[in-house]
Amino acid sequence: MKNKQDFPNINERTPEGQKPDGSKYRVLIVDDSMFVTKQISQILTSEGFDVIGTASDGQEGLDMYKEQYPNVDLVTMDITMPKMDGVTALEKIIEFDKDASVIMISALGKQDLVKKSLLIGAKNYIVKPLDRAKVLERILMSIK
Amino acid sequence: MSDYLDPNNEELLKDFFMEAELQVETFEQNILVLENEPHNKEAVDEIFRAAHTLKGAAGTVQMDELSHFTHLCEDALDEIRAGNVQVNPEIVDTILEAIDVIKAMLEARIEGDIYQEDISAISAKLEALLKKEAPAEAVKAEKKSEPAKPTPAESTEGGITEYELLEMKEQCGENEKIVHAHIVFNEDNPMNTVGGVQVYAALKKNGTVLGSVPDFDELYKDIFHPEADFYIATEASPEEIAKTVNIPDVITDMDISYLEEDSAGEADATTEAEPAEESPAPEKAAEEVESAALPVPLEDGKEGKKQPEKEIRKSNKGSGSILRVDSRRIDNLLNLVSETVITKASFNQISNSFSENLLEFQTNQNIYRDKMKELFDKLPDYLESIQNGMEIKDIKNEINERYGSLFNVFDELESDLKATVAKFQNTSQSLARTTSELQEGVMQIRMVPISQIFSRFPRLVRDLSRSCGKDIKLIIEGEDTELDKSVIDDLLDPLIHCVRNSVDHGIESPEARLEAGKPSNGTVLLKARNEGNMIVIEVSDDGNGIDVEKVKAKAIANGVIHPSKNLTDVEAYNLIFEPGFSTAKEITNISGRGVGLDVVRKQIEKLNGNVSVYSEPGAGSVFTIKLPLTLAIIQGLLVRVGTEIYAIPITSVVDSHRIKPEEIKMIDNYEVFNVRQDVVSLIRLNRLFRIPTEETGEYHFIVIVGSGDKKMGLMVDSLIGEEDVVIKPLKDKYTNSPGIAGATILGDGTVSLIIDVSQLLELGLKREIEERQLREATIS
Repeated sequence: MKNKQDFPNINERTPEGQKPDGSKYRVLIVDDSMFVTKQISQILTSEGFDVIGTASDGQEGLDMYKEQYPNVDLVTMDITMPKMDGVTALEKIIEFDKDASVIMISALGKQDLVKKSLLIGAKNYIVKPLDRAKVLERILMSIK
Repeated sequence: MSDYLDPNNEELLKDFFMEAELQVETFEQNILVLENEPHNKEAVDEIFRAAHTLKGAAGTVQMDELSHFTHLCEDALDEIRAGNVQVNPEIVDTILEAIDVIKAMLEARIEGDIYQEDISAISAKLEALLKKEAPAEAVKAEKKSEPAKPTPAESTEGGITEYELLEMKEQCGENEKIVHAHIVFNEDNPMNTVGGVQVYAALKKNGTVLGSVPDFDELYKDIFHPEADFYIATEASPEEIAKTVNIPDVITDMDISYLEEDSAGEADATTEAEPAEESPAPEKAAEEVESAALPVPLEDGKEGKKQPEKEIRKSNKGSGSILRVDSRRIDNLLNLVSETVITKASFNQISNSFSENLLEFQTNQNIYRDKMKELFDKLPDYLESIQNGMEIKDIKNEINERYGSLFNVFDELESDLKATVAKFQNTSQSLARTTSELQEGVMQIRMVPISQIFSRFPRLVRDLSRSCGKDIKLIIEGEDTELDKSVIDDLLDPLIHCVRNSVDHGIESPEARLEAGKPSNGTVLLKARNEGNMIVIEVSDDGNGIDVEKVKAKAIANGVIHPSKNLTDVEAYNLIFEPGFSTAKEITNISGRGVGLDVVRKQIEKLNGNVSVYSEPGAGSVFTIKLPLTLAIIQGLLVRVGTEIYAIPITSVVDSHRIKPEEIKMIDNYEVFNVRQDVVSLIRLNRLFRIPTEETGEYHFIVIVGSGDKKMGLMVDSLIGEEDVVIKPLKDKYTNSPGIAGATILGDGTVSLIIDVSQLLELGLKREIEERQLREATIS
């Protein structure tokens, strides 16, 4: 016999993407891979985050951040991108808003760039391939 | 909702394949750029990025064979990037071969299989690239394999000397204390070499990092340090610091305390943090999923069946093509649609106004009728009054007074109606505007830049020129030119054919070129541009040009033309599009496989376009392909034959004439007439389509149509005019009707058939000859 605890009421849990005041965390996704963008955005929206924009290169991401400022709670930033790479974009975003929460998305083998980003002020990094639990964990850590 | 992260999610896979295709294309294009400019750093970076992204994406969908293979490529590319390996044609060949393997792997997966071919040969080649710089690589590998373990003396807090401690205390701010953090890192983290810097960065937020063991430079290196000690000057408590430093996955254990207490022996302030929990579960689950994703191996007996199945799948592949559309275009459409909705609302209002007008009219009409009736009824009375000697003037006055209002009963209605009509006209005008914009917008959605197919050519030309030992440069111009997706799809084959032709037959061997006083490397130019409603694509080369005499001789030998026929050079060049025509002396595997340029013409004509060639002996030749921007809407010349209306695609209309019946002459049983210097044969459309008409008009109207070098006059009853016609395909039953390309519905609802000119040219000749023979037979 299964008891009640085996069937947790999903309604009892507030989605992770909700702030204490009930509004949603607003996330900007910067990634040249539409595919990764979609993954992140699916993970986040399923948790009640508000994906306010997606950009496909660093420059676009930077412009969007400035445009939306101060209504961005978090940026996920790919490292290798055309036009302007993620590290440069991060640098410029931090220059513009030193409290910006930026999480780097990196593939294996980019250790030096990840380190550079962390020193510049990235809150954390996520290694591809993406894993739902880890993505959420890292993101929540960076905003809460 | 299906989980987008599930490696078997269909949507995920679809996106993956689409993206992979793009990456492979970037990869290939830039390799070719690199071959020409070995030091182009941007190209190397692009290649690297493409390979890297591909590797990452392959990992996500658990395409391990691809991710391993791309990893190998990446390593090889790294050598190129580092400048350890010089780019030369052999290396480019190797990499292109690798790209082909990647493509094959992707293709296999698209079809649900796993690439099974042996890749050891190409892998070995790639590895050989790596080994060229063996010493450096070996050192690197050694470093990697042996995580530098700091000596035990360093790893404890004893790693700092008393002097250093003093120095650190001096750097400490007034309210700050020195906190010592001992961190143990998780080696299983895929990026375990980043941890030290990550902790450093996290600590920096709490205060000043005074020092660390191993020191910062050491931490920054790409080496895994199992443990590290940090010293921070901070106002925060060890607990607060622990919170910021406890990074899941990265840290397995930590020990954070004030330095003084620390040295005084493990005191209460020490914070033992639970190692951030790691969950091996997802990985395991993923593994299970993967094994499920592998196709179940076929049983032995079914081996033979596998092949045909694969074939079938391949043929289905092209059907569901994906269109990438700029989101702005969609936004624009949405905008237009909302305008249409508003217009619809206005029409509703107008309809209401009309109803009100009608009601008003009825009311007024009733008033009018009543008054009129009253007047008529009163007439006898008035007559009587006149007879009784009443003054006509007085009666007039009375009538005016009583019935004068009749004049302006409808005045108000008139002005109301005028207003409604004006509103109606306005709205219908705006509807017309919106619909035409909407039509254009929808068309634009289907418009894709021609670069989508042009991008295939650098590789093609390179491979071709290498295989025939020629040195050929390809120049591409106007790749931003846009045209309809369906046209693009069908354009690739004919274009490849033309380019192959230029490479194979057009450009001479380097020796011959030098002899002719030309640079040894030939040039093929691929150029696209807009010309009104048409798109013009040119494939030109600076080769030997077309040998007119050879073409003529061949045409005569093949019975394409009569020996006595006098041809201009241009006409002669275009003979190469005739079926069964190939002047190449020897058959190469590139062109001349029995399929000639006639196929090109056929395919282009299927797209409602035309192709022609111009050549200058010794200087090269130019293939010009003209295509309509889109297939769905064409400009048509409407003509009337009997009661029927036909549309002739304007692209094939050369000229139109009005002639008197006596201008028609008979030559060799053909009806012909003279146009300037030319003699053009005639087809009477009414006879061809068996439409009963009287052919007794004072004038005949002739539309001269042409495709390629063939020309023909179509005799019609009258010309109606030019109009944009939307092509509606005919239902299966009628698609075989020769000479008809489709149907369209005209503004007034009439159905009009669209004439397929190229078919008609063939058909007309055949039919006329047959009928004439029949008539002659009955006469005799």
